[in-house]
Amino acid sequence: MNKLLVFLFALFLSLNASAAPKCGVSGNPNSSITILFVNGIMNNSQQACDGGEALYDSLNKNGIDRTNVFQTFVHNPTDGPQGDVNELRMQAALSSQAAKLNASGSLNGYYQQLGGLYTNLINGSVNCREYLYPSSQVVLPGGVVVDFGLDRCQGVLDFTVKLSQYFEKYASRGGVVVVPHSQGNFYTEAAYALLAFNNSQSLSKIKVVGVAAIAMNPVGGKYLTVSQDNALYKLQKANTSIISSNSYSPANYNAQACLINTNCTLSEGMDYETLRVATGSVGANVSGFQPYFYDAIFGANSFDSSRALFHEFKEVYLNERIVDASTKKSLPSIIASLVKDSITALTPAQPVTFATLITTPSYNLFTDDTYGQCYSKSVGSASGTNAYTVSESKYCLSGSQWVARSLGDTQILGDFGVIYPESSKIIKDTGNSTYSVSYGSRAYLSGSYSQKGAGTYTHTMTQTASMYYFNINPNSYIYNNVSSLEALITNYNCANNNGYLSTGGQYGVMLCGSSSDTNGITRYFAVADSNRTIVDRGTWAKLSFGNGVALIGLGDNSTIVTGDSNIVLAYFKLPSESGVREGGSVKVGRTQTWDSYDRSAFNSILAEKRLPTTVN
Amino acid sequence: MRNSKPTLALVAIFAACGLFLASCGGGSGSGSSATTINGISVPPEPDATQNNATLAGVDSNANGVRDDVERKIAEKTNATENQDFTGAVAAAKVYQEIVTTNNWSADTAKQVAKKLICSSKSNYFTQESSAYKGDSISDMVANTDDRKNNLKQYTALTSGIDYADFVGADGEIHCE
Repeated sequence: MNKLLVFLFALFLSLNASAAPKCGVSGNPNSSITILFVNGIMNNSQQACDGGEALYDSLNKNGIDRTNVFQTFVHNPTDGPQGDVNELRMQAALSSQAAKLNASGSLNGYYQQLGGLYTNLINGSVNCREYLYPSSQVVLPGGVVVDFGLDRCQGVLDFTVKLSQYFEKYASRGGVVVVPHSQGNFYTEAAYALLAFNNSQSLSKIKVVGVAAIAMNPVGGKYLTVSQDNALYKLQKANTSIISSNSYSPANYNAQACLINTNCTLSEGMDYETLRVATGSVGANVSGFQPYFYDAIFGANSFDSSRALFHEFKEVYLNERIVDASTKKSLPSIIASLVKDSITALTPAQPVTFATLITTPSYNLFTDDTYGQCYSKSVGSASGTNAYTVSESKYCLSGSQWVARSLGDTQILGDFGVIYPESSKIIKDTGNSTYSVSYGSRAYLSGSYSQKGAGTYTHTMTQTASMYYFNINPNSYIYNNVSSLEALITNYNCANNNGYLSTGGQYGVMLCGSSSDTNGITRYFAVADSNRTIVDRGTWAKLSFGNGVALIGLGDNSTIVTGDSNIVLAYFKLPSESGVREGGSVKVGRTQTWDSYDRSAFNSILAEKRLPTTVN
Repeated sequence: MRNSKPTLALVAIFAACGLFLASCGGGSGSGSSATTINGISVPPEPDATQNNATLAGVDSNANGVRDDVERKIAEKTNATENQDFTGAVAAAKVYQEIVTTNNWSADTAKQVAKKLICSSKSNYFTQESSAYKGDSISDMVANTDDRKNNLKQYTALTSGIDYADFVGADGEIHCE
């Protein structure tokens, strides 16, 4: 019985144990996206670790997809209440001064200024004392000056530099979503500013979800500070724009709010000029000038628990019981949605397989001839119109896979082993396992899949063509003693027969070599092109173009312009060649149905046709 | 048999004293004769001069934690709030290693940093609002200038550690 009780107790404990990995650090360290937690003040490493675990749990509960997402945390150590407060004052003073110096009024200008101020301190051209609170320097009897602040200044600079290095490291892998709490926001802002000042290419890969966002201009504008936060809002006003209603809502951030001094109302102690005036001389004006954060958090002289409440990362901002009054969403769910948005913004569009296209009925794909021959898909746009933008990657069909192509790439796609000068386009996934593909906008292929029975499938494919495929054997360089096509067809008495010109329609001719021949023999001509003439005499027809290229088709009923393609022989004359080539033709435009194949055999057929081999 | 009655009486008295002392625990923590605080058995309060004469101080039960620290943790432990005395002591043990180590190297500090986060998951640290009480374990352990200096060295070296450096092949931190 005792053993059973012990077992049940152990089971109870295990069921109640946190599932979060230690400190929330988890995932593939080489993932493209990294979530980086940076704690606030007064956190020893265990508390910060605990915050990381809470963040992990919260993001998981709120549906953050951990596929290819790594989470870690950087510990911002505490140096005790006064040490941490000295750090905050310095950071606030620097941010305040950057706003004042930002004549441009732009956000980028602000970060440039802030990065410059930090750089000046890092390289020693400016003394830290400029930005430190006077009380951090004490004049002892006998004139001995003890400076507690300089040590903290160096600590801030060291941590900021390290953080900027982490930003670059994780950005280079694909992107980083920084989740700073409280003072972590100051560090994040400064680290970002350092990178901006140094013209880092990583900036676009750094996203921030500021929690208890104390920074003057939180990077990216995604942040959340509750109006009931005692440390940041209730007893004082942080510099950032914070919603003032009674609801727990993300701040409606106004990027211009504190960019320049004329638009900012900076609180006492946070303001650089106030700081300098208050400083006067070393050690002066200390009494009666209550430190900004110290006053807010600790009260005038001693710890005031009522003031300390409602600022913590885990207990407040990751508390599922605290709900936004208007949206009824909990704080952690709001934070998670901001993180999710950031991850989405950092995630490159993924190559789309046919499987995705065909098995997702609601997926609509659109082409845009303006930007070429492929189509685009962005992650997160699972349905609806997906218009091109220049920044989006384009994907083209290659074999049975969609592969990223640069804008304007005209390579790709083949049917029957032929490479065309224009790539195909999936025009629209029209619904359940149907598709439509265009070839150079002059031939269309549509089809559908359906499961006929257990393990068998039916695929109906229809080719609608205004096109002829003429297959020329590259080695069939014949009639090299024939100087012109006209000479070749003299027997057809070309000169004595008046052909007629097609009066319209999308008639075209594809001249192509073997599937492996991409070096110039592939040509595409449209009958509707200018400078072409057509002679069609029933048993033969001739196309000639102004650039010297000509084609003669021979057959029992060679009527190119009418779409009848019983042409069995074709002769081609290219201007760069003295002779004439011979080839055959393939009729385009048919409906074909395959039936009752098992999955493997069916996919083989699809692969042969360069069609989706994705029957599930 | 006659002699057994006084013995039983003494046991009863000692037991009562024990309960009495336990009920008084959690106050100032003074009194070198106290052996239990908040129901927790702890060593007696050491002589302050002797305790602070060396970095290591007095650790009479040789559990790696100074006696004064152990007593203070017990004082702040409230079993009814599910606070974790054992976890706090485990953390204090690592802090004791920190304050008694001179001449830190970056590598050593890093390993101790991992040891510290692995030492416990103590409610003592994460109790609501405890973050601002200023009475953390490190404050208790680093109570002299020399000890503070060593803690400061350690803190400077571990500031900004990316804990991703500690992960195994599965991307997680494993505590031995």
